[in-house]
Amino acid sequence: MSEDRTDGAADRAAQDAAGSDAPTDAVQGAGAGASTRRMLMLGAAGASMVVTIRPALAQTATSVLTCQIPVPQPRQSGGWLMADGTVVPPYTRNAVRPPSQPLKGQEIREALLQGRLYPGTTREQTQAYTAYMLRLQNGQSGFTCFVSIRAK
Amino acid sequence: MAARRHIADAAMPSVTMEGFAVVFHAASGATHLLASPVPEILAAIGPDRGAATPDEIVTRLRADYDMDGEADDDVAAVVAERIAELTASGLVRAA
Amino acid sequence: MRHAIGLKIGPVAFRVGSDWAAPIAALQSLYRDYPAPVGVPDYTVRLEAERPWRRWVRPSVAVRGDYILPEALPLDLAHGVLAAEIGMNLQLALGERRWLLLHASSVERDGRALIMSGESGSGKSTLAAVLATRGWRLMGDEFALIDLATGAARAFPRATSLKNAAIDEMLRHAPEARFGAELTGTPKGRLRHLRPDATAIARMDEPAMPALILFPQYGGAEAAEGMGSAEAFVRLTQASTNYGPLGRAGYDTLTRLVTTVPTVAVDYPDTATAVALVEQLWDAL
Repeated sequence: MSEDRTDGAADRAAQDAAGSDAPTDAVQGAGAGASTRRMLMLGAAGASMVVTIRPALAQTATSVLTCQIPVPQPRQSGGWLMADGTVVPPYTRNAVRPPSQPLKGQEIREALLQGRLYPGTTREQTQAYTAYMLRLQNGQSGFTCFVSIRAK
Repeated sequence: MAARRHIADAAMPSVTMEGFAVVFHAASGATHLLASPVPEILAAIGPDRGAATPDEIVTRLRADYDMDGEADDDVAAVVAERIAELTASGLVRAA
Repeated sequence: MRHAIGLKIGPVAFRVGSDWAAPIAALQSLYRDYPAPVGVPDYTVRLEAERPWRRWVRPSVAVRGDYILPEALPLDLAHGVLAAEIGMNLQLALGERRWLLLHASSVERDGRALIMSGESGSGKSTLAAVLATRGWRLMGDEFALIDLATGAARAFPRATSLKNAAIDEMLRHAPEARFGAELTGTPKGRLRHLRPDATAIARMDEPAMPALILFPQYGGAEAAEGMGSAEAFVRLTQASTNYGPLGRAGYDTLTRLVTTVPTVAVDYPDTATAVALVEQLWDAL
């Protein structure tokens, strides 16, 4: 139930039973100055010795991809967008038409990271949509989604 | 053909549980469980120790651990296999 | 949305909007003893008609919010309160970054938390509900929230979702007045919600340090076996909905949890046996 104690230098800091489980550096120099060397087991040939944790839910790995952001949020549905992301009445001068569907997480990620345009939009529209999302506050539809995309 | 040198991708936090080293690789965000001798090999080519060929890694391991019962060739073969596995996981890169 | 309700469950505030009144009324009833949320909600759930006319013709509920399951089938309006629960689960499971989330029930005694992790059918929710009638404080039936800085468990005492035989079991332990309406024919079978008792609601903002982790499995002969920390670690990464997205913070929190708190795998044939086992293991700490 409690962690194993070994004498490897890399593990020393993790041994304290009182719960000092501060991670040690996996790659700090091992054994320098140790008076006795412990045996090193080589393991079986052909066996895999690295187990990678895979996310349990496919959704958590792709959660960014399954979330979507309505632009603008439903409460302001139909509004058009200025270049700075503010929502204005339709046909306002210099404003752009909003997307007809909510923007998908994957599209937003590509726009942010690679400068891609949202499908079927002009550069002005894409910039306005991104500016809108940057202004989202906690409590507005899409805030959580946008924060998690940016956190990736 | 000269053997390639490899180095650990970064210093990685590690917690030992029942002999496994549970490490976090920040660049990928992935968590891996490593069984001996993988953590020891990783430590032998840490950023503080520099890149090494499999033969050089064997030398470093022999200095740090009691491996008197193992022949050089056997150890080198295991090291090469583990380096391949570590490279595939992104924890180690050619340098 | 025409109908809406704000809910505060532990540290999480939801806003549930709906095209129909019935699901909101059901939520209002289930959560009538909870304090009203203050300020902006953390998550929004919308129960929507898929097409405008589906509000009235063969009404079915599509669950929407920041996070969606694109393939999810809409639910019958009669099961609207289940749709709301699914929606809230989804937003929390996929969006939460303030705590490490584990699929686990939790109960508290003397400031320390018992965490019971398991899949649907393990009995973790029923066990927690029964323990709550035996002097333990219910912290949650489905999600345990682990504080990233302190490792403490936070309570998330939503109305417990009981399915099929678990409903009949709990009717033996808790007064019927605490149960919501029974839903039949849901994708999960018969379903009935159990409102947490007054203590659980009154103390829902009190954290507790985890002291024991159980992996209960209903249906086998009585058995209890200590689980190594490496196995517990891997199993809890699979029981977490946000371990990966939390990155380093998730790693630090979960490694600390499994190396400081003992873990036991428990098999039990019936609830009474499980309760006795829990008391034994807790006393032995």
